[in-house]
Amino acid sequence: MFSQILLASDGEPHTEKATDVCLELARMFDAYVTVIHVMDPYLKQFYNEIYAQGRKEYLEHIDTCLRTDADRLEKRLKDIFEPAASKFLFLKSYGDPEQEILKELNAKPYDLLITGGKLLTGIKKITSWNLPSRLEMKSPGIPVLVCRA
Amino acid sequence: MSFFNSMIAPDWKKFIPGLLLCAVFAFVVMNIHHLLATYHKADAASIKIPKIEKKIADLKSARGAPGEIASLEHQLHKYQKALKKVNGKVGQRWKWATFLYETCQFKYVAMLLIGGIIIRNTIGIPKVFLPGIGIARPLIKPGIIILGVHYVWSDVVKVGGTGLILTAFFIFGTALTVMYICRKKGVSDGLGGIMGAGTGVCGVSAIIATAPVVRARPLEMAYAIGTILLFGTLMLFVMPYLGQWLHVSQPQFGAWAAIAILNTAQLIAAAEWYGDEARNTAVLINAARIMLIPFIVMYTVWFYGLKDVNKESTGVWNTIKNKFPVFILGFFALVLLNSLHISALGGPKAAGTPFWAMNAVYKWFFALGFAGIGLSISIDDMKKSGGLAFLIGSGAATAKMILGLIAVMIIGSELLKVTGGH
Repeated sequence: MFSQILLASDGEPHTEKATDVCLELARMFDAYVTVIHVMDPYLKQFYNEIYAQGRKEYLEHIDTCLRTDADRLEKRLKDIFEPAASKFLFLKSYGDPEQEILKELNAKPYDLLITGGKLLTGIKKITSWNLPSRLEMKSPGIPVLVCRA
Repeated sequence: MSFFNSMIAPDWKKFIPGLLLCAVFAFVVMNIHHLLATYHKADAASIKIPKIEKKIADLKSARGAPGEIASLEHQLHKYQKALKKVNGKVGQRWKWATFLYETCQFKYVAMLLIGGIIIRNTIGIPKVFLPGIGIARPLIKPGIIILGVHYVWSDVVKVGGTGLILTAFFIFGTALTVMYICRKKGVSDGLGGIMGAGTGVCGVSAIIATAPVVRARPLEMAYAIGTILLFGTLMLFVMPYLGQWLHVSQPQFGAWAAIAILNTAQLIAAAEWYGDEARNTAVLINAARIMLIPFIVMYTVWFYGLKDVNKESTGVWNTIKNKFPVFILGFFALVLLNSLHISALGGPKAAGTPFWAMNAVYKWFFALGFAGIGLSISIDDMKKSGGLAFLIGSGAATAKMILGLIAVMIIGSELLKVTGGH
C-alpha cells in the first residue's frame, strides 16, 4: 500500500512520534523512506534590525547552527532507520519548509507524507494554520499523516 | 568604476519593490497626517481667535503692555493663518480632526505602525516586497543622525549623562538579574545570555550581537526574538496612552521609553508618537544606551566564562570594534557642529539654512523606517515567543516598566529636558 514514504522532520521533540509511526509503517510495508529536513533560515530576516551589530557573525552563526542540527538529526535517524529499513534516504534542504516539502512531494511519486505537529487544544483545533495544517491543505493528492504529540 | 560597484550590493534590485511600497505607504500616510494636523489647527484656531481678539481689545482699552499686545497679535496672526489654510471661518468646527489627532493621537507614527501591522497580518505581503521592507527599517538611522542638529553638548552632558547612568543601571541590573536567575533555574547559557542582553539593552539588536558569542540555538533565538517583539509592540501601543493618563511629561516619557521599551525600533516610534520633546530625550538616551552594546557582550562573555572559547572574536578590542554602532558618531558630529553655532549652518528652526533643510527631511527617513517596521511586524513571529523566554521577557518587561517610571518620576523633567541651546 505504501511503497514510498516521505517523513518531514525538523528534529524537534514533537516529531518523535512521527518518526516512530514512520518506522512502523516502513517495516510493515517494506517501504522506501525518505526523510526531508528543511533548514529554515527564518531567523536571518532579523539581521537588519536597526542597531544590529556583528551582522555577518550572526548570519554565519545561524547557518552553522542549521547545518549542525541537520547533521545531528541525519546521524540519529540513520541509526534508527538503517537497521530496520534498508531503503532510507536523508535529504537536507534549505529554505521555506512548506515550499521545500511541497517541492519534494511533487518531484517523486510518494504514497504518504508523515509529519509531526504540536498537540492542538480548544479553539486552535479549528483555527490553527500551522505547517502540518497547510501541508494537509496543499498536498498534491498525497495522503498526509500528522502525528501530533 | 570598481570603487562605485563595491559600494552597491550585488543583489540591489531585489530591494526595489519593498522600498517603493514603503515609500508609497509613507507618502500616503504623511499626507493624511498633514491633513489631520491642518484641520486640527484650524479647529483650535476657530475657538481661540475670538478669545485672543477680546483679550487684545481689553488690553488696548486698559493701555496694557505693548509687548504683551504684540505677542498676542502674533498669536492671532498664526491662528488666522491656520484658519485661512482650510478656508474656514471663526466658529466653524472640525471636531473629527481634533478627535483623531489629539484625543486618539492618530499621528503618522500610529498610522504607519497600525496600518502596517493590519496590512501584514490580514491581506499579507507578497514575498517580492519582503527584502525591501527589511532594508527600510534601518533608514531610521539617517533620521537619528540628522536629529543631532537638535542638541548641543550641554544637552549631551546633562541629559545624556543622566541617561547613561540611568540606562547603565537598568541595562546591567536587568542583564545581571536575568542571567543570574537563568543560571539558578538551570536555563541554558544560550537562552540566558540572549535574554539577559535582549531584555537589558536594545532587544533584537542585542540578541543579534550576543547570539553567536553564547552560541544560542535557533529555537532559543526564535523564542527570545518572538518574546522581545511581542513585549516591544505591546509597550509601543500601551505606554504612550499610559503616559498621557499618568500625566508623564514629555522629557520624562522619553527617558521612560528609553529604559522600558525592550526593542529599539519600537522605542523610537513610541517617543516620536508622544511628542518632539519626548523624542529628543529618547534619542539622546538611546544613543547612550546603544554605545553599551559592546560592553553587554563583554559582560555576557565574562558571566558565562566564554573567554577561552574564541579569543579572536571575544577579545576586548575585537568586541568593541565589531559591536560598536559606528553610525552614532555621525549623530555626535552633528551635535558638535550645532554646538559651535556656525552661522553658515544655521539651525533646525532657521528657515533656508543647511540644518533647517536637514531637519525637514528627518521625518521622511522616520516615515520610511516606520513603514518598514509596521509592515514587518508579523503576529506569526510573535507567536513564536514561548517557553522560558516568555516568562523571562514578561518579568523583565514589567519590572523595567514600573521601576523605570518610578526612576524618571524621581529625577523629574528638568534633568531630562533637551534644550537644543535655547
